[in-house]
Amino acid sequence: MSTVSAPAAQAYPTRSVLTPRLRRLLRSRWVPWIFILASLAGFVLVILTGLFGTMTGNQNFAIVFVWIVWWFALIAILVPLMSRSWCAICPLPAGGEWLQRGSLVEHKTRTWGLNRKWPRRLNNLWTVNFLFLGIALFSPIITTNPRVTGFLLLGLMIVPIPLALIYSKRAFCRYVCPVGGFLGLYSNFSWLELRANEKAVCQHHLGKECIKGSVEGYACPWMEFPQTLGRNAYCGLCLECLKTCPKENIDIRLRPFGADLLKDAKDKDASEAWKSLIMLELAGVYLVVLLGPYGYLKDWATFRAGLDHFLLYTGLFVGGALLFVPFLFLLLTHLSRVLGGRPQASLRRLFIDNAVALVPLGLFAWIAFSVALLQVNWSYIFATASDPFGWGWDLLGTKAMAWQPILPQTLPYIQIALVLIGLAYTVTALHRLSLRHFETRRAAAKALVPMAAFAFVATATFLRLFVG
Amino acid sequence: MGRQNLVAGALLVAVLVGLPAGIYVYEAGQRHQRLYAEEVIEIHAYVAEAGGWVVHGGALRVGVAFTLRLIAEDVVHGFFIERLNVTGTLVPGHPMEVSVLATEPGSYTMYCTVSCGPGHNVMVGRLEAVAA
Repeated sequence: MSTVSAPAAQAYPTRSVLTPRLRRLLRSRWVPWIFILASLAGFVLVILTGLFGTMTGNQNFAIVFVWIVWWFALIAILVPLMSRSWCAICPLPAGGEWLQRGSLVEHKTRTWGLNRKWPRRLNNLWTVNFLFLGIALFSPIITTNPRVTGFLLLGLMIVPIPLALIYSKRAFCRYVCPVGGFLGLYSNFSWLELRANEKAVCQHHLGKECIKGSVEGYACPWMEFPQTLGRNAYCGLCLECLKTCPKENIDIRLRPFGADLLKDAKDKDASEAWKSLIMLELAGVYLVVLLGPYGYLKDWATFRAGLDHFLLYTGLFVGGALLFVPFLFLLLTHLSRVLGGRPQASLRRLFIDNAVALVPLGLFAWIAFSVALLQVNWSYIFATASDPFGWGWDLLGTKAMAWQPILPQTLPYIQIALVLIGLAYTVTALHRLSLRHFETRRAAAKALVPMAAFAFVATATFLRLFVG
Repeated sequence: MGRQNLVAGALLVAVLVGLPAGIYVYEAGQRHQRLYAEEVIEIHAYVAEAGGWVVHGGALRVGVAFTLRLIAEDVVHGFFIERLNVTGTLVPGHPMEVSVLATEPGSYTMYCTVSCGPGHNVMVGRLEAVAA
């Protein structure tokens, strides 16, 4: 029987993507500003089409671009490959940040607003979790009604403004944004990271421009300390540290997928564990309600079956996400520590670590869900790009493009493969966690059983829902 | 304000003001073209609770051939216009055009012919025809 001692943070190979030319480009204050402007133009069009365009969802640019194109790009491309790159170009907090800084592009030392610190009690993802659940509860309506989508995005652009004028830096992005919450969580799996290259360089450099700001740029708007930044969860890739670091010690690099899943961090707390479980549960709920053959559930979720059924749906939806699934996972975590021979080990720590290890399974289930949306609905992208309001325009000559799914017969195989990849990453992460938390390989293997069983049951449920 | 902020401000105004204004102007042009380039009347169909039949482009003129451009704005509707004897099914996102010729002045009643919602039975509109 061999004794295993695993390090707290695993070392892994990385490869920088920053050439000197690219670094010079990224140090410009126009990057990522110009991309924020482009995405703002897209959001303005989405809000206008949502509010004034046709009410027919599949003929309206807002529905097609937000819930098919944007969603797919976020979950299936940007997050796995480029971490929180969307946050770098997101237009939602832009208005508030520009007002807070009193500047659009240039760096200013004076900031506007009250500049208060975010309340310590809310220094977690709970606000994000509740807001996300609130929005997700109404998603069958939001994702099909252009007006509601338009008002939702308009609200998400307005709310950050007062928050930016009351609280310092990007409090909205870090503690409130319902989109940023899952982007941050799933970015722990990402292929890309921004980190300080040599910790020693940072330690010996007293200027600390990355957290104080300099003429080149602002102090980290995400309230991170690049010198000790270990995970992608709360790095919005805004590139301010890359601009301000006089030592050119900030790097953007490729790494193995899932590199952050096992890392310890003081901001990795119960709210993040709940986020992981909520996202996993929601993937299943959406498969059942939005893509499943259960029409009566859609009626429950959209008030068509009356308030009593909607309240029942709300109870199941919220109760499952906040209580049932986490409680079940807690029980299994307890069983895991008993089987592993360490019943005195911190249940809280094990619960958080194991829940975050579920990130790959959740992420790949969401990708599988999103692939179905795109494969079936892609032709609407061309029709609505040509006639975004449904007013009879034909800007690109593709308005009359007939509905045509892409190789729908391949969809189940793609979905099965995706979910199994997620399962493999999750079980691997759970196994490595077990090796870290338990004394011997044998104990670690025993402790793995209940956690792996949870992952397998979740996978079997997804496969049942995908393939039928 | 520095030069970079001025340039950025101009770009921002282009997005926040220019984009909506451009859309408005383009649609106004399109509508004008649709309504006045030929004898066209545009009729939008909403469920009765949201307004029913909404006619843009004035009235028919007796003895003059007109094109009716019918657009379902929310759900599938059907239409039948009495005395002009035109009928069809309107699918959202697919405007339909029909030619009509009014032979006498007065009101021509339009009915929805597809059960479109709770107010389907009262989804009735009027198309006026005046002497040429």
